[in-house]
Amino acid sequence: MPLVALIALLGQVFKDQPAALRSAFPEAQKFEARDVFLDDAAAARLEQLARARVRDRMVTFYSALRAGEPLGYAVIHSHVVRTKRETLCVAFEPDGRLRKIEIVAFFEPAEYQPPQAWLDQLKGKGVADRLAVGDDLTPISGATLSARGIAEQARWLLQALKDAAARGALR
Amino acid sequence: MKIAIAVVGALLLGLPALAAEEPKSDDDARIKALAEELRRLKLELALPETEYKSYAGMGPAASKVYFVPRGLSVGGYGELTFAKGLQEGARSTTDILRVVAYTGYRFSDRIVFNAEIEFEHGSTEKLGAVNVEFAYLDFKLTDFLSARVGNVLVPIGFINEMHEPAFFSGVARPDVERLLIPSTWNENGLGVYGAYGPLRYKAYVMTGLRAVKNEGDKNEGFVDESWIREGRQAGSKARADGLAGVVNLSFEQDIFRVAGTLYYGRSGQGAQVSGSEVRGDVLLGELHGSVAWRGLSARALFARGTLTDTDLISLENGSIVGSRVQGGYGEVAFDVLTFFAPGSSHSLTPFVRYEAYNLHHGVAEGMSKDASLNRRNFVAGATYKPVPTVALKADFQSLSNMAPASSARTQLNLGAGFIF
Repeated sequence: MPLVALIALLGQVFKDQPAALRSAFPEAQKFEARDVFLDDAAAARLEQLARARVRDRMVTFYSALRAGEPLGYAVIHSHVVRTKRETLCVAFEPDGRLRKIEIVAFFEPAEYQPPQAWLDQLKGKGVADRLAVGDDLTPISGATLSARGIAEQARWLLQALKDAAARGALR
Repeated sequence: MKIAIAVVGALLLGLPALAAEEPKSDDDARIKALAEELRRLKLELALPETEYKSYAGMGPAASKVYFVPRGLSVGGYGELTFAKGLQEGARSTTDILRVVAYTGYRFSDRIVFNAEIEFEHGSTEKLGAVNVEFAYLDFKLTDFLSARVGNVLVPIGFINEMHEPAFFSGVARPDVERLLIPSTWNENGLGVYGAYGPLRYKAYVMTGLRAVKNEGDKNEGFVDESWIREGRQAGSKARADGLAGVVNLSFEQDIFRVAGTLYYGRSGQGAQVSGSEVRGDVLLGELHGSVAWRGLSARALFARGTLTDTDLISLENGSIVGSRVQGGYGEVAFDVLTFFAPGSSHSLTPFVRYEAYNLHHGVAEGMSKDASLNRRNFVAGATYKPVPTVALKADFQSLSNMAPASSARTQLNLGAGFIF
């Protein structure tokens, strides 16, 4: 097996948690973690709203704060693409729209990883958007599974954030 | 880890949805603790940290395979250098000195294969080479005893086993650990190693060196300028008529480490010169110690070696090879960022090193010593590491010797190195 293939198999962690949060909110002075728990009913509701499978039962939202005011929220979220994981830092504006999605770790071969330019088209999307590859998100050759996975995770995390905010769980 | 997450997660499933508040009771406090534990476990799964640790004296990247649970491990390191002589008319050179791939495979908890494959000097069509620097199987028998067989690094000095560029000061390795101790030195062999508390040992039997040159086999043999260095066989169709043994002991406690090695072996490998068989007994011993306290680190090494039959070897090789060599060096370094920016992940470490060694401390009867091989090197420079695994280096070298009318040669060196 060529050397490059051996190296690619290893995958990479691009950023640790503090660096990922700082990258999403460079102006933040501190981050506070808020754990939001999902019982079966809540997960089922999110699944229906988001057209997504919700496996998590706890989501940690990091509130980015400056002078005590929230600049937005972020989630470090990991899921399996084919057989290995990718980890996203999904950042939200204070009104719940997507601010930025960044891949911070990718353990599948690098050619399956969508480029940041593809991820940037999710900026500004909210719960009212379909967030579907081939619909309001452009398809991407070679990284279809990863792109669909990212869209699916973004859909239910948007719904989870909206739900948590409505219940005052982020304060 | 998945089981732990499942257990903790199951405990959390009975909670009211979307609840997050300060604990008001013991149950709340337990739930908060469980949530924090679950958050930590999820982050470990999502963003696993690569931990670089040394195993049994090997470099941290070379040790990667010992810290994977099963299967394949890949690591590596590289060094790029630039040197500018400061004398009038001196040339500048740059070299992609080494690009190295480590590959290892952990067959089970007790059986590990580990290898280093090195590409030197950029291209085999120019002056480069591809070498196996080590390739061995380890069998862990108990916590105190492991067996090793294959192409192994001779456990001697600071550098030979720990030769990754992020872990020594200066662009070039110290001369004492290139010429008296011929790093990187690897031979085919087998042996045992282990640790008991702060005491660590290694004992190998391996192929000896090859003293006499043989152009057909591309063996240069021992020469005056580098003593035994060009007689390393490196496991390449190595002659195994003359064997060698090496014992290394080290003791590490808190900030201190001391170690010593004794190597003894034959290097004649059946060669005959003027009708006499060359034994070429090589005896090489060294002691070294280091201390690391906060940003301050210091290390020192002394080595001494003897070689028999130097009259025959010198005659055949056309070079007066030392029958006795000795030398040593001391080095002090201080990471100034521990003082100016405590807690920083960066480091900036000025250092100074002084070496004194003599490759003609003794020569065969009737041969004359060359005073230019009695050398003194002074090196001062700094290493900047933006992360602990990447090193940018700069240093100034003053290289002098005891030959009459000789003047010091000065050189500026720049380097970049990394491990992964």
